[in-house]
Amino acid sequence: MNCINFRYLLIVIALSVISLYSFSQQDELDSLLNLNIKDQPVPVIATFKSTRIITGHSIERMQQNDLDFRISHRFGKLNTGSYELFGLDYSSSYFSLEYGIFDWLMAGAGRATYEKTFNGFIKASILRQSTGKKSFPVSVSYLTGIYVNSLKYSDTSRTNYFSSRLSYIHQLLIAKKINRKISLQLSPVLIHRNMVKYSSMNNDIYSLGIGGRYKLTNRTSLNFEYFLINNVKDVGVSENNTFPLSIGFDIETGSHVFQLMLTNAPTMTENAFLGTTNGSWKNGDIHFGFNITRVFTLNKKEKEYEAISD
Amino acid sequence: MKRLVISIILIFSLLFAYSQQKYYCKNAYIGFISETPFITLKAQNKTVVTFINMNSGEVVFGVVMRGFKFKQALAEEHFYENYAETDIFPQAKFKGKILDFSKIVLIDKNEYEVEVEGELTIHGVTQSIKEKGNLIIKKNKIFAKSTFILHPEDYEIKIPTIVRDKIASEIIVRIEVLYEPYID
Repeated sequence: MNCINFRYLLIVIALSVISLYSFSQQDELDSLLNLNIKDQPVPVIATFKSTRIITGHSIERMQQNDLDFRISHRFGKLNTGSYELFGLDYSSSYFSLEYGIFDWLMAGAGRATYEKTFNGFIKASILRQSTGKKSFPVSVSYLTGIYVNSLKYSDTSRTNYFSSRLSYIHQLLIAKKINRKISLQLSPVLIHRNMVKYSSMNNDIYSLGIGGRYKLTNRTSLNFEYFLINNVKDVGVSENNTFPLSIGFDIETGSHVFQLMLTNAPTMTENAFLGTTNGSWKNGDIHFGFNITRVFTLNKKEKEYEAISD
Repeated sequence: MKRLVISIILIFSLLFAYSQQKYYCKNAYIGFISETPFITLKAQNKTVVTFINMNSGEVVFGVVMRGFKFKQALAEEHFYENYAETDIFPQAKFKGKILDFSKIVLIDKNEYEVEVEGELTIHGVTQSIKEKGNLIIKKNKIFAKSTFILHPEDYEIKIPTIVRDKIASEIIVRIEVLYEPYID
């Protein structure tokens, strides 16, 4: 082999190898990065701003160790006129404490003015809507609870049973966060009341809740809620019961959520607002109301990262 | 014949030498703290992916924003939903270079203070940054760490007036990585 030709060949090969490597390295690190970031299921969060759409439950739960303190008020009817300050002179309230036992299970207890009702419930997350790897289209939760009417017995001469005070709820919450702004929820619900006033009334209430929200800004949203009641003529003391319809406005500020609403249902526990609502929007039987919630994070052991250098 | 053998050995050693110089870490740590008189919020991400090329000094970081975990679940939800808007911007990235990387000799127990310059993209906004860091060579691994400050408004992360006092305008960011050799 010719000496000069060989050295020339060697230099050309070496230079081309070097240039090949330095050229590809610019994009190589970036593509290595993309290869190594794992595609993971991304659970959908913040479908609604709080655990209630307006009066009924939403798919949201308290996270583990979070405690929610809620106060709700419903005022009187707007059509009672200016003397009654458009209903503001009358109010019924409900307050509760709700706690995240696990990320997927929350429990709550509360007390309502209406019939001096105490209630307790648990809400469990069954399925989570998620995007990314292994996506799932909806979130599903199950709510069950008990209501206790604590009014004094109206007739003490007869035998009164404690069980007569009780009502139960079974509710399935099926929600989908459709996009950044819109979430929808379907909530089939069954209420059983151990004792009702007249024998013509049905102890069971079968209802389908339809609710949703439209996010106006990052921290405010417009909500609506409508409950269709299958046997609405049979559930109330007269045949005049109507479907509860509510429109609300949510404002979120850090750890508080303020929910302002207009509704034809003046009560706040499911056994009451599904069983006794007889107001009509057309007639002006509209109540102004609000929910205020404040979330506290109770002491949680923080797994501090142990720095390698220490 | 002898020259052919030598040249083949030379070429292969060049190839070998170049491919040895990449380092990586798939569970690097990035934490940040927002400290105000009202509340201190801390977040940790232990799934950061980063690569370093010791031939060229190039550094890349890929951060999955949902990897940041907070002690307060509500703070975490608000971070994803309202501030970082992780549904639109799921990842943050850094592409840069160690200035003066040629001074680094990969011998155990060597320590260097370096400056890294590059482009950081968070919330869809790219900013040029230049920060100091430390490298400590530990046998065949490189331990890198850095602490610096970022401002949310530089990356168009909007903090509304209602909560303005609860979130610091200067966020302290801490990075710690134990790089291992990357074998292609």
